[in-house]
Formats: sequence, structure tokens, C-alpha cells
Amino acid sequence: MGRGLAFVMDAGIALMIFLVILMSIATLWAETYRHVYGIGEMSPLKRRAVDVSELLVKTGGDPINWYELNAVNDSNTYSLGLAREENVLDRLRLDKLNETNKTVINTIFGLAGEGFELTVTHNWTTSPNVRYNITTLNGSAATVYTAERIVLLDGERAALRLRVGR
Amino acid sequence: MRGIVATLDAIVALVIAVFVIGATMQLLSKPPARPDDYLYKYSMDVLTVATKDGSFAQGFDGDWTRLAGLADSMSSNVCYNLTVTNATGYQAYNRERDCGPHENAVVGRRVVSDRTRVYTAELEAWYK
Repeated sequence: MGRGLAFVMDAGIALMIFLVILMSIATLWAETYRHVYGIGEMSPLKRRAVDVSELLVKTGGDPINWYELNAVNDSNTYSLGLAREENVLDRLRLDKLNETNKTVINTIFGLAGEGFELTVTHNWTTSPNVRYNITTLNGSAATVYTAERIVLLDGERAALRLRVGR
Repeated sequence: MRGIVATLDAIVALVIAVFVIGATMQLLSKPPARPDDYLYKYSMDVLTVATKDGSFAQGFDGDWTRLAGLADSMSSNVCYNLTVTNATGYQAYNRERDCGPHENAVVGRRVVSDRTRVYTAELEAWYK
């Protein structure tokens, strides 16, 4: 193998490695950009409604036994979750949430400038039977976003609707 | 040989320049819409509840009405295509509300079992 050829092979290999690295970076950058753009495009109200509803139906809250506290406030409860297990709501947690100060719930939800309305309804498509309705939402709120989640409550299907508005 | 070295340099520079220009053009254009995060969570809710309330189990016993009822209770502005398929491609169940073009559809998947075989429940959903 002559010197010239060895040089060309070196350059070729180096170029290929360089291009692979460059393309990997570009792919990663494009995906990150798309993700950031998607989040940025989603309205803050929608983002909050979706995120809070996710916490409610997928987690039990933090601390996990927050519903056993005498008085729930933003110093002893960091996150409110209603699930006994994924998509299965716990009536004890719902009852405690129902008797908790609404302003405290608003604060723990992270909805300082917004109001919310949480409803849990059985037979929501045929003859709606509202089991819980907890709200701080002002009736004159100009912009409202609704996140609906499908769950089980007492072994029956239910719809959890979280409306967030300002 | 000097001439060839100069040409290689030029080719490498050209490739990089084309690549950088292409990447810049792509970044300046609006990226394609990202599938809706909320709709995906909603689809997964349906599959999770169907698993936990025994809709799939009842379906494998021959009665799919419970699963059909759950799928139909999805919000009216959501179109869907629900399939339950095993590894050989056999489709045990299919139900759809085909009410518009499949734009930005999301697909939720969950593995379910009839106690002997494993199936994939797939719920494709998109806005009307």
C-alpha cells in the first residue's frame, strides 16, 4: 500500500467518523428543538391542567398518607394525589380533599393565579352522577381548559374532569 | 499530488457547508406538530381502566361489549381505532370511531393476557 493511498484512507475514515458525530448531534438537536417547541406551543393553562390531572390519577400524593393529616396545608403536603393505584381513585383521599380548604388546594396544585374545578362523575356519558365537585373557579373566567381522565372509583368507571381557568 | 489534497479539502469543506446550511434551514422552518401529550395519556387511561375493570378478560371470554362501552365513552371530539392482536397477527378485537383524517394520531399500547396467550392492545387516537 503506497503512502498516498494510506493518507486517503485515513482521511476517509476520519471524515466518516466526523460525519456520524455531526449527524448524531443534529438528530439530537432536532428532537430537543421539536420537544421544546411543542411544550412552548402548549398553552400554560393546558399544561397545568394536564400535569395536575396526571398527579391526581397516577399518584397517591406526597406524603403518601396526606389524607390522614389533621389539617392539610402547603407546609405538610407537597403534592396531592388521589390514586390508590394507577387510575384507581381512593375514596379516603377524595373525602379528605373535599374537606380541605380550597385556597390550600389551589396553592398545592401550583395554581396561584388560576382557579380550578374538579369533578368526579359516574355514568358520565349516559346519566351523569356527580360524586365530587370541588371548585375555586370563578364563573367569569375568560379562559378555561379541561383535562378529562378516565378512572375507577369503587370498582366503577368514572370521569375525573379538571378545569383550570383564569 | 498537491492538487488532489486541495480537492479533498474542498470536498470536506463543501460537505460540511451543505450540512450546516441544511440544518440551519430545517431549524428555521416550523417543526412538524408533535403528537398531543394529553391525548396519549387519555388513551392510556382507557387501556389501563380496561385492564383493571376486567374488560379485556371478559372480552377474551367472548363478550366484548364492556370494552366497546368504554371505548365509546371516550370524548366525542376524539376518533379512535382500538385493536387487540396477538403475536401471530391474529386480531381478536377491533372497534373504531373513524371520524376524520388521522392527523397527529397518538398510539397507546398495553400488553394484556387471556391467561394462555399474550396480546397487544393498541389504541390509536386523534382529534376530530
